[in-house]
Formats: sequence, structure tokens, C-alpha cells
Amino acid sequence: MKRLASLAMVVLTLQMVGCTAPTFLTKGEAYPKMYQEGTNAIVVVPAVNRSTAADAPQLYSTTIAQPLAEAGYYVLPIPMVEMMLAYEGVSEGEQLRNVDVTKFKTMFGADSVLFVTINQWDTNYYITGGNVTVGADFELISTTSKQILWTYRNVVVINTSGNSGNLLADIITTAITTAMVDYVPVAHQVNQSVIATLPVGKYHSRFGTDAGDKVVNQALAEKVAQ
Amino acid sequence: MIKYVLNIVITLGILALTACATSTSLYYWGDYSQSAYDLKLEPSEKTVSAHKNALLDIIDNAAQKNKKIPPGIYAELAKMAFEANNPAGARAFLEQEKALFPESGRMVEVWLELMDKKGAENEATS
Repeated sequence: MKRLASLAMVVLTLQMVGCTAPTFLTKGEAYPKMYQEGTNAIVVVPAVNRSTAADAPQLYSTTIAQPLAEAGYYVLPIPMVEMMLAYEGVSEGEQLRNVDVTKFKTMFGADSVLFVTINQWDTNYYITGGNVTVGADFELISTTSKQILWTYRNVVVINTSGNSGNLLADIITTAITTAMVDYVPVAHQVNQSVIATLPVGKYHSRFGTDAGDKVVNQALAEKVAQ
Repeated sequence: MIKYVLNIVITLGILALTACATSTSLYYWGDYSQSAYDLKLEPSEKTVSAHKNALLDIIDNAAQKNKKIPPGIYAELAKMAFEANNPAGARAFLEQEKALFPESGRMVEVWLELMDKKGAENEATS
């Protein structure tokens, strides 16, 4: 984290690059079912990997419990969930997308299941610049009503270019910082920006009072809006 | 003297401010993020023991930091105890997870059944 802070960070939301200004919805407008149905215990299953990095889901899995718990939810312990799924012969997120979601209720007592799809987990390196990109889709589905309660997606790009103005120094800085940057702090940023749109759970002090928060970029939550 | 008191007041004020800035989290996580990641990246005796120490540190120090113990900490210790052939220890940790978070009840139940089954298998083969 420290070394990341020392980098010149440029965080872009790719979806916002278009010319139109984004429309923001309140959490209540974007996710009415979340407030009607409520959810408390969330099981996070292994992420579906659409990136080119084979180890992305495994590494990603160590980053998601903390922000979800801090948002007020009981998060079923991920290492145990992985082990229990492994006993059932499941190790890849893809295998779970067609499973009847009520199974997650009987197996784990979960009220909802969080499916994460990792779309990007890349390092791009070019002569005078570089960046690390992590992008993911999130979908929270009720294990009782089978409805989508919450969905959001985001991409975070951290620029690792040197910008001293000295070309040779920049080339060297870029090479070093791009090699050094872990994906994990970038994944933490994705989680943070995405979970900020999730209505908070019962362990959070603002539980039940955040429906008016206007923080949901409609374009990034479009699955629910449709 | 006045200067001295003023200094104390200012220092306290800064302390209070910084305390506010850092105390927004519900739970105490200690080194969890780092040790869980290291363990995933490279499972070894060293990373297992570092992660176990991080979990135990959370349990020992959460109260002192005025934070709660996060979901899953006891459960992860239970998994480690189970993997170290200590089913009694695993059972005790699971009970603690359940006491802290009743939402874990169903998972604990399923896990205990799994452990019993595994134990029976081990007896049958030994």
C-alpha cells in the first residue's frame, strides 16, 4: 500500500470516459429489492475468470471478505466455503453459475450469494508508460426469491508511468513500478468503489437509513435498472 | 505554564482528530489482508503459521482496540485446526464463531457433519 501511495496514481473509471455525464441514482431507486427483502448472511463463491491471469480468482478471493463485512454483512468464511465446495467437486466459479441458488441456503445458510466475474487483471507496459488494470462485475442473488438484489461493475486503472520529464528516468521508473505493483491493492480499490453502492447490512450503524444515498452510477448498475 | 497546557490541548486535539479518522471500521483486521494473501500466493509452513498468528492477534487485541472480531476469524482457525488433525480444537473454534455470529449456524452444522464423516473414514482406514 505504501509504495502505491508514493506512485502518481491516476484512477479512471473507463465507463465514464464517454461524453455524457453519468446519471446517479439513490441506493433505494437502484436496488429496491435489497430493501424489501433484506439480506444478512452472504456467501461469496469463487469468481468467474474472464481475464488472462489464471491466478486472479484465487488472489482476488482474499480481498472481498473485509469490505463486505465492514458494510455490515455476515460473510461466510471464504476459505471454509472453498473447502466445502471442493468436497463437492467444485473449484471454479464457472461451475456454479447454473447451480440452483437455493442450494447455497441449505449448504451454508446464506441469504444471498455474491457472484463476481473478473474481466480484467492485467499489467500493460509500454516504453514510457504502464498501468495495472482490474475490472469486475458483481451480482448478489437472493437464495430464497432467486431475484437479483444488487449488481454493479467497475474498472480501476492505476497508472504506473514515471512523470519526471526525463525520458530515460521515466522509462526506468515505469519498468520498476509496473513490475512492483500488486494487483491486490488495485482489487481493493475496485471493491471499495463497488461496495460503496451496496445498501449496508444489519451490523452497520447506518442500517436501514441509506436508501437516499445518491451514489449509484446508473450505467454501471444497468442490469438491475433494465 | 499556559504554553505547556496549550501544547497538551493541541496534542490531544490532534490525537482526537486522527482517532476519528482511523476508527471508522467496525472490526479489527490486524494483518489479515496481507497474511491471507501471502498464504494464497504461496502456501507453506511459514505462510500458514503467519496467517494463524494474524488470526490469533485479532482475537487477542480486538477488544483493546475497541473493535469487534470480524466474521470468519474463528472459522478460519477451525479450518486450520481441522487440517492439523485437531478436530476437538476445530469444534471449539466453530462454537465460538457461532456464538459471535449466529448466522454461521447452518454452515457450522454442515461442517461438523463433514468432520464426523471424515473422522469415521480415518478410523475405518487405520
